[in-house]
Amino acid sequence: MLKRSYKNYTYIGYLYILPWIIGFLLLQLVPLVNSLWYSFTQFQLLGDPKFLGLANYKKIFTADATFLQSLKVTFYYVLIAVPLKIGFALLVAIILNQKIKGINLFRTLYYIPSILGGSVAISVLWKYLFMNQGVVNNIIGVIGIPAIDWLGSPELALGTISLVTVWQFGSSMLLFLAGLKQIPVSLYEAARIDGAGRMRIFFQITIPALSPIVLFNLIMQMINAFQDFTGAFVITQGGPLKSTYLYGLMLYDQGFKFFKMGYASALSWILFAIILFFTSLTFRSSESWVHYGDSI
Amino acid sequence: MKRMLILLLIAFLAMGTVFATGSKEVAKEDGPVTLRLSWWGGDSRHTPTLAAMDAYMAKNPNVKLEGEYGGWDGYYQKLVTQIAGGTAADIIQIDQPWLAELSSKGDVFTVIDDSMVDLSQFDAAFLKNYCSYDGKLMGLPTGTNVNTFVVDTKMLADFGIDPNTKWTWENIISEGKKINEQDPSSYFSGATPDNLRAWLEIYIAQLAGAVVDDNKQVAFTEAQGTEAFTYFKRWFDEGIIAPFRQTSLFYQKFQENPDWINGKMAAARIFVSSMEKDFAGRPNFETRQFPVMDGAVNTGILMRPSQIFVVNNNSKNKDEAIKLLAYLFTDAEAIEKLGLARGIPSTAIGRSVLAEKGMISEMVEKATNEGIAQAGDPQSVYQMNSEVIQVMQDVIDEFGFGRLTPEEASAKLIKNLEATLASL
Amino acid sequence: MIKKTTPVSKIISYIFLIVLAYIMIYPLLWMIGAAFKTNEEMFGTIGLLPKNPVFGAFAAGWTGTGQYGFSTFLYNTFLMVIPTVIFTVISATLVGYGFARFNFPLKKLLFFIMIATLMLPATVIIIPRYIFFKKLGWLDTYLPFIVPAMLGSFPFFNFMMVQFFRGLPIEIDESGKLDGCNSFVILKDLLLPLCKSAIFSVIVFQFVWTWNDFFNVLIYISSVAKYPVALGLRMTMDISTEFDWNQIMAMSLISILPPVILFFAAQKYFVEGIATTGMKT
Repeated sequence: MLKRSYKNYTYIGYLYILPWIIGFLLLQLVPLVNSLWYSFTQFQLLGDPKFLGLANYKKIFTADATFLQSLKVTFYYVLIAVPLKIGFALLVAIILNQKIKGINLFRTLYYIPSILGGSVAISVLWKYLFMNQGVVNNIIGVIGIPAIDWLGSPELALGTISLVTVWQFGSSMLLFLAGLKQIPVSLYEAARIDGAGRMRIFFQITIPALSPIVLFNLIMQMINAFQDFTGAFVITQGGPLKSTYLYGLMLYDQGFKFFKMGYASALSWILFAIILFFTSLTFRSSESWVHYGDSI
Repeated sequence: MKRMLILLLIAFLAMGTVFATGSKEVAKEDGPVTLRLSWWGGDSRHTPTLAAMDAYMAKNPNVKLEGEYGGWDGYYQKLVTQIAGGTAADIIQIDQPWLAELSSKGDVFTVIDDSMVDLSQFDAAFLKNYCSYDGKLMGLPTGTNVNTFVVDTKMLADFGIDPNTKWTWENIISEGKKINEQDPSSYFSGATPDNLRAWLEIYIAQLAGAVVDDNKQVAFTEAQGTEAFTYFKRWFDEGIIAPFRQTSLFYQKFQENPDWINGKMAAARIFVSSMEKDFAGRPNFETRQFPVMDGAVNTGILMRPSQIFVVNNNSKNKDEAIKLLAYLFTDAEAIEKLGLARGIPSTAIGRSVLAEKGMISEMVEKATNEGIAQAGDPQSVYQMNSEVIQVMQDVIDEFGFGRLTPEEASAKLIKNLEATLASL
Repeated sequence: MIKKTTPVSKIISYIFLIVLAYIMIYPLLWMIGAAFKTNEEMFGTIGLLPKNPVFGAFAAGWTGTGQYGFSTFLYNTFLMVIPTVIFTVISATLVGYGFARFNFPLKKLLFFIMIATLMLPATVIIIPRYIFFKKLGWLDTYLPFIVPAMLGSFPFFNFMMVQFFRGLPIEIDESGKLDGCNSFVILKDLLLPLCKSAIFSVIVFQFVWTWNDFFNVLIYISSVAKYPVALGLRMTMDISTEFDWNQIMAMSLISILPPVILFFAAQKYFVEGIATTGMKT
């Protein structure tokens, strides 16, 4: 599909990526290899790891019900949160890309949740919004809908937690905006001269030109969502009934609450494999829908 | 060529930083001894502790003390990381259950004996039961913390319940249900799922002595478990406790539940140390005795150190660290400066100094004394194990959400406990 | 840009934007209100405005009662965040350019490894990385944040820049080449001006993330004198003793000001865009 315009190898590229190569070898490789080694051991954090062979992996796949539950919850979370967040970010970015008065203000307001994301206030705030006696129930109460246990019922809690994630769509939105700004006006002009309508311009110019950013957002949000557990950690602690017990939260508990770092490492490498699979799939599919400026 | 130079420059700059900074940290042996203390808490703990440390430094110019303090969030995780990395502070404040949990993984803490600190100041049984591992004293208790049962006397009276009732397991239901009967949004108990787990542990302790015994065995029978769960099912059925759907959000933070703050719940099992926080501004609380069933083997009421101070076994200045510990626990000046930063002191001299100065609140003292009088046997280290607690909590949650009958809950609890205990 | 919008669709856009804006900043409004509430009112009631406002949370939180005031924590945060952001921008640009515009042996594999390092959960890396940084003597310094930024160890940003560079037409590079520019000049003079909004995104993201980072600073920074705001904010939050939430809220508000100001001030890079520059073909 893609024809590179650089046919020849240019070794100068190594020079540009050299910082990362050094960083990878110096800072990242050792911890990575260590954690892989731990996954074959019993490692209780204090003292030396004891080699166990495949015992951790065997236990995970045969005797750990929580593993399956967390995996299920995590898949749901990724399936709900990622498309919603990206879709919403794209929609808002397109609206904000118009020439509207007060656009700067709106853009800032929409980004504020992403800045607030790590604030200590957030855990309190979401309870306050979604608890039984909370703001949301108060609002729907006005129009006669009975109170809903947004965070207290096993059926709804994960959806509510996903909302927190979607609410922080600011970063994805920003990237889309940056991408929209990069589309050369000449492309639009050419299309308009050809008499293309708004919808056609959107689907034939805007979306293809934005596709590298869509891919980036998709890959990154997916990688993050598989590991994410902040919302569940600070708001529901994985409950009720483990309905928000995301994979990352289980890992954290195993490693730092139960001191089973070996087991946690094995769980991590399984998650690694899962993410790798889905990321590769996305990359592979991208060849048919992402359009780069360096392809002819 | 220019581009090559620029890039190489950046690369070298980066590598240079890596190695240049690598050779720091080694050279600082001479001069005063530096001791690091780590603790968590709020301002009411930070300020007095720093004051006591200053006083110590004024007396001992050869010692430099550094406080590493912060909030509760992440404290344990950081401590574990530091211990794994060999960088933990010389003197560390820990929570009581961590003592066994960390000690079981290695010789993390220095063993303390009478030649180092005047141990006669402490209650010997308290040290043995709560601050020792494998028969060796590993740390010193900052204060005595006990479970207490508190009731809002005005709320009880408003619902036609005698506020001076002597509580039994039975009349908690027969009297307590009056509240929910009159106001479906109010309940007798403020218990969240984690509180209910504590209540279940008390109930089973009274029935069978313990949930898990010192021999790493489940200590109750399936019938006893069923009996306990059947009793607590009535709490749900008769409106003693709010449904988990409403309270699970306040896991470990029942005092943040608006229904609690706004006086829609009348009673709670709490620790004396957090009493003021738990009252959440409500003025009419009084402490009461816990219900104890006839012929109970063990009241199941918890008593434990507020926190424990330990000396890092990795410390380069253990002797100095222990000297400081002795100062903090037994010196009148330190005691006065520390005040109630860590609860009512567990040393005799500590209590007398603070009593003399009138620093101990009457209510806290009364609750502590009542709690000590009613306290049961110490829980086994296995029952306090975080994985065991999680197993209990998971079953309670399923039970509380109506997914398990009492019989099923009892059977599942025993089965899961046995599996987990075997893996410890 | 897109064809002139009709008035009706503009009104719909406005309504949508305003409703959404309210949802987005509700938390912020609530925090402002909460800075004037007692704990009981904050947890016990709903409503944005405090009924019996209590003042002084800002002053009390700013001073603190320990050894260090909040200004120290703010200063420390800048000390940590600014170098991290600057080095991230430089390294991400270079690495991104390298992967986007050059072809070299093992490129695909290296790129894949780079992305793959993001896929292993941090939880299990914490301890080995901690021990490694300890050996380097970096504990209790900001180096665990700054050096990885120098060495392009934030694959997120590298990848991001790759995507932005690849979105730019290759004709730009080729025209530069025809003019006799070397690859670095092409990057510096031709491509970078077209990537302003992407660079700005790197700055904002890295600023906000490092600013808010709690777990890493918790692990690596031990001296209270070096605490950044993320630790300073939580240092009075105890599990059993009472603390004033309104002070926490007040300081949270102050601590989000720098990122918000940065964002608002640098907005013009988004508005101007690049659409008219650069193209020769």
